Amino acid sequence: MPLAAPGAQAPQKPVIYNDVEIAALAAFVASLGPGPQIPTDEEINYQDADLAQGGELFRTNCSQCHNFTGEGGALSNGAYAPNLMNATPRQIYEAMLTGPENMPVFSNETLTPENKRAIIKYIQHMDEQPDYGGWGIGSLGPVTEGLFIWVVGIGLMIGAAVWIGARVR
Amino acid sequence: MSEHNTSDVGVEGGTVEPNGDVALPDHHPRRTDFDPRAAKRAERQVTFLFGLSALFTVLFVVAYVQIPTDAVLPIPFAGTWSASNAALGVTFGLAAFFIGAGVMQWAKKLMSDKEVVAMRHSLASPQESREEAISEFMDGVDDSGFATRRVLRRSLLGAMALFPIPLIVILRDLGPLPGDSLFITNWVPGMRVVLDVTGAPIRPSDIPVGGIVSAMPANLPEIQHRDGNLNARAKDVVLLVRINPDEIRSQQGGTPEEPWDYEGVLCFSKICTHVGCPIALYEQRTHHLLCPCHQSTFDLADSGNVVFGPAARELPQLPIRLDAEGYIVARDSFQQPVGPSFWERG
Repeated sequence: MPLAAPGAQAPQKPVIYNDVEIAALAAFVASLGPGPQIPTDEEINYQDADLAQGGELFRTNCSQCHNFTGEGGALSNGAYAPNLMNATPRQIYEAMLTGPENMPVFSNETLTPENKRAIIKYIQHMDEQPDYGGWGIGSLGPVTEGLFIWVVGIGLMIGAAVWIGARVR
Repeated sequence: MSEHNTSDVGVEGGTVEPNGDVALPDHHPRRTDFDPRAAKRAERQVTFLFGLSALFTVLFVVAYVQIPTDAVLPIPFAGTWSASNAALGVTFGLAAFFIGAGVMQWAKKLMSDKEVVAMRHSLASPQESREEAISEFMDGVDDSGFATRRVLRRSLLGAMALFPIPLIVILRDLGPLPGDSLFITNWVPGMRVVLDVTGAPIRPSDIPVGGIVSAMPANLPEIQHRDGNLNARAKDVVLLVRINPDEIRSQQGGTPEEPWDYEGVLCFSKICTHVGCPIALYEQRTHHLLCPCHQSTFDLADSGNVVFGPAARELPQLPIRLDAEGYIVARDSFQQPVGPSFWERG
């Protein structure tokens, strides 16, 4: 905010306003019409949340767009679901309540605050997991990984074959 | 025949073959062929590559022993890796790579690179070997009495003829045929639509405009595994979305008295009609529902029609109403089979 350019996606960009200015802007917008409140520290305290249930809820409700590990993924017409690895618990909670851009709204009745905290705990847990396969190249799925191995992997193989077959002087 | 075989011969560059073709370009000696210092240097290079391989093999053992399996290694721009896995993979891979690189350097720089013509040889064995093999075989046939002991021969042939039958009989495991199970789901009139995972019943007020809810029939958790719980999960899951009623252009059915939606709350099958992936990439601004597998796109505000991708038919809509307690229930069962096309569906 403000939107850098109208388009399919409004990507994250450097924050220009300071916290006081953002709070003042939020207060002004809230005076124009009702909306969800900014979640309090207690509401986003996920320490005691149920990690296993969070995983089940995440895979049922979120993974279609954001990937099983929260890495994000493509939508239609240039839009995409962002990577959640650097999102703060408050941002995740607010996004579920308000549905930014093309994201649907997950109300407190269908995903209770307890469910939301479980989902946040799962995302944070995914963020802390080391990558056992080495470089995950974004974990974006078979198309990306296939493209990578066809271009870089087979490219290296061709390079080795050229070196093996090259005439020595 | 062996008397026609000729041994492989080294050829001079520029040699003219009997048919008049020039066989090979001129041979150029390598620097290592005539300069002993260059040959010595190449030898040191190869030794160095083999030495690197040995070093990485030792490092592999050290890494295996020393690095705890839960240690992590933050790599800039590439995330956090498991230190043990990364170290084992890198050291083992490089140990193998440097053996190969050393061998290639050895072959290219030091082994002979004189061109050689390999003549085509007859693949048949010499005549006397073939005659000997045939006579040994015929001796065996006579010795076994295969030609004279007719009962033995017939029982053997009979046993061998029957032997493939088990392979045909076990094809029965491909069945039984699915019957009408692809046409029916657990959605019957009055079945409550409950939240997937938690199983809580849903009121329309729980779903804001732009919201989406993954749901299932209320009896799904009670279905036992042996009664096909997994098949039921694969067919019965649905999505509830709420769209501003003014934006709903069409639905798959319903009358003003008995609408299929409830004040903009629509219920659709969650199973893509292409090859049956669960779909829930819902874009609330366009009302488009995308399948993550092959990008089939359905417009939920327009009867769930296909607007893009390989799906051939609309996403089945489940008619809903409210029960006496105000919870969402199925008004009727699905009016068409859910999931991908199959033979009998046409």
